[in-house]
Amino acid sequence: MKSRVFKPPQGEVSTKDILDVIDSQKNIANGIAGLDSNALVNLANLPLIPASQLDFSFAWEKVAEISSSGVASVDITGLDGDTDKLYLLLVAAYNPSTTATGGLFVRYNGDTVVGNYAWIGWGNAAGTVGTSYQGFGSTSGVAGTAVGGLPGGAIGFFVAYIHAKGIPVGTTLYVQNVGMGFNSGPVTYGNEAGGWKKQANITEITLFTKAGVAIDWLVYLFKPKW
Amino acid sequence: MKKKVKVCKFDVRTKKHEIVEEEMDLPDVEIKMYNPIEDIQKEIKQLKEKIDALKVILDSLSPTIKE
Repeated sequence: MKSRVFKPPQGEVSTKDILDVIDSQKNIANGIAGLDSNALVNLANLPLIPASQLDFSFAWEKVAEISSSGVASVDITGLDGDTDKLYLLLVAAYNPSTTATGGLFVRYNGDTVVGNYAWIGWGNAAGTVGTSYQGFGSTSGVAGTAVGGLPGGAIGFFVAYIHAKGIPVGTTLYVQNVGMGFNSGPVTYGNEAGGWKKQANITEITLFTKAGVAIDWLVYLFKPKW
Repeated sequence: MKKKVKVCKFDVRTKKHEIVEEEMDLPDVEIKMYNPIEDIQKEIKQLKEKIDALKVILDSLSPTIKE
C-alpha cells in the first residue's frame, strides 16, 4: 500500500491542507484494517512501558550480587542453566597480596575433570603480547575456563557471557563462555574464551583463583528475562 | 593438588552467603603466555652465535683458502 507523506501546513490553513490531514488519517486507518485479527490483538496487548523502566533490569535479572574479601573462591549455587540459557558475569577483583592469582577461572557443577575444559586467553601483559591455551582432553592443566588474571597488587574488572544451555556437537553438549578483562599493576588487557563439556544442567558456577590466592571480590550474575 | 581455601558460597534461591573453609582441587601447573616475539628473539640470538662461530673458523683458515 502506497502511503502519502503528510507535511504540516505552514501559515494559513487551506481546505486542501485539511483534506490532506483527512487523507493521511485514512491511510493509517487502512493500514490497521489491512492487519489480520491476531496482529490487532497483539498490538492491543503491547505493554505500555514507562520510560523509567526502560533500563538494564527490564531485560536482565540480577540473580547474585556477592561482595567478599580474603577468599580464594566464590561459589554460586542454586542455578538452573537449562532454563536460564545465558548468564552475564561481571567480576571486579582486587588482589591485596604480592602473589599473582595465576588467573581467575570458572568451574561448572564442581566438575574437576581437567579434560572437560578448554580455554584460550590472549592479551597484552605489561606491553608483551602473548597467548595461552588448554585443549579438551588435556590430562594436566586447569579444571576450569579462563576469565582473567590478577597480578599481585592489581585491581581488575572482567566481563563474561556464559551460554549455559550449550550447543550440541554430535552427541556432546558444550557450554561456552567468552569474556574480556582488564587489570592494573602491571597493566594487562585480555580476552578469554572457553568451553566445558557439559555433564549436566548447570546448577553451580564457581569462580576461583588458580593458585588459591585469597582476594577481594565483587561479583554480579545476571540472567535474561527474555 | 588439593588445597584448603576460604570460599564464599552464595545460593541464588535464598540470596544468602556464607564463608566456609573448603578443600579445592586447584591446578599445580604453571600457565605461561606464549610470546612469539620472545621466540623470534631467541632464534636471532642462536643465529648470531652460529655466525660468530663461523667467523672464528673462517679467521683460522689460511689467506690462500680465504681468497
